[in-house]
Amino acid sequence: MTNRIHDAFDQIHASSELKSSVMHAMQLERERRMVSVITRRKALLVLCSIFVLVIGALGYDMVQTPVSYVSIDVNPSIELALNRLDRVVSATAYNEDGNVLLKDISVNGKPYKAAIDLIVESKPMQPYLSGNAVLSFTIASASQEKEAALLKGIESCAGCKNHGGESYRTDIGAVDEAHQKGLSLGKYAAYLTLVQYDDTVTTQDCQSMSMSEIHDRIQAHQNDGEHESGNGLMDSCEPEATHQQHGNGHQSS
Amino acid sequence: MRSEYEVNNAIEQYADMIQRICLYHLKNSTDTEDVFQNIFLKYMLYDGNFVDKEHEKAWFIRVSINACKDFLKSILRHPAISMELLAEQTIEMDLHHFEILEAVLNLPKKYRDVVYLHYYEGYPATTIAQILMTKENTVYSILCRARGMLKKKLGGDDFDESNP
Repeated sequence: MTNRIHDAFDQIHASSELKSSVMHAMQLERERRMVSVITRRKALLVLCSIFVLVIGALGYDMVQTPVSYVSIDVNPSIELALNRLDRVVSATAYNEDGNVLLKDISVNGKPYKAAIDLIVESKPMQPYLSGNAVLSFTIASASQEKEAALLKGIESCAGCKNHGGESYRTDIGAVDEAHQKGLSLGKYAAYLTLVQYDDTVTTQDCQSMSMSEIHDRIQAHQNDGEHESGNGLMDSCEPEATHQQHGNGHQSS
Repeated sequence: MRSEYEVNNAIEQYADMIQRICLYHLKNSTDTEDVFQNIFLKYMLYDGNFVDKEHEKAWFIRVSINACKDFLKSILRHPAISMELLAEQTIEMDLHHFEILEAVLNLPKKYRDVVYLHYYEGYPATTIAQILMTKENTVYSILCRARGMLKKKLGGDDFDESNP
């Protein structure tokens, strides 16, 4: 029986047409799948590129876009622009003394506290901090939480503590105005206070004055009682502004 | 994905065997071509490795039987006796062989795979049980009953053989 069934089945063969047809079909299927794989790979590549670009743009925005500003004013006027990570994106000098100071100091990419310490504790800065110099830190940020955190951070800086720095906060909108007038944020805020007592004072005048000179003039006007209802240094710029003082008693209000 | 060379080689090597399996499962040559394509597509996309040629052959048998069953299920056809395909395949076949194939195709569906694998491919019951994923005793029973049915239909003393 084995032989009979075997012999009978042995008569059955796949035709050469069937084999050719299947080979052709497999070839077409292979090509179709290769095209599909290539298309999918291209699509994946495009998606990956978009992803990388988006991540890159977000990263760039996070690292390079300033969202907060810290102005350090004694006579040198220097303004630090900070990114979302509170690192320095740029440091700009707003007078010649500031330019000289920044010539030998690089603070880009540093955390703001380290940058402040580096600037304030630098050798060229020390002559400006002697006597009755006023070291003021003025900050502006779009977020109140960020402002509060920056104020707290600045207070804890060695550069602020050691030299009795005063810290203020002001409206972020004042940043552009200050820059248009060629002043740092801190000096512009001081100018706005002084101009309430003396409207003949110009931004050019303030540019060449040290912070202690501006403070002295404000103090003199307040003592003269010319402006009994006068507010604090930063109040003209930011009604809710807070100002804090450390150490050396350069109280401004 | 397997290369064109590998697939064409497999077609040359296993096409006849698959044709025989299709013969006792399917109705006509159009169905056979569809099933052929499904089987070799599976082979083309199969990433596994075969231990040896026997392993590969057993894989093709299992995939072919399943492909035929799936095809019949998919088109809601009754797995009727494949007389149309038999007629297509046996135009030049002598009456003796035709009668034997007809008798095999008239066996109950579940008997046909066992008869083919044993009498044509020469597999022992153990291997058939592995390929069909059934018990060895079931294979023995099927072979015994199939032998009785074929003897009744075709006659001859050579049906009284011992168990495989």
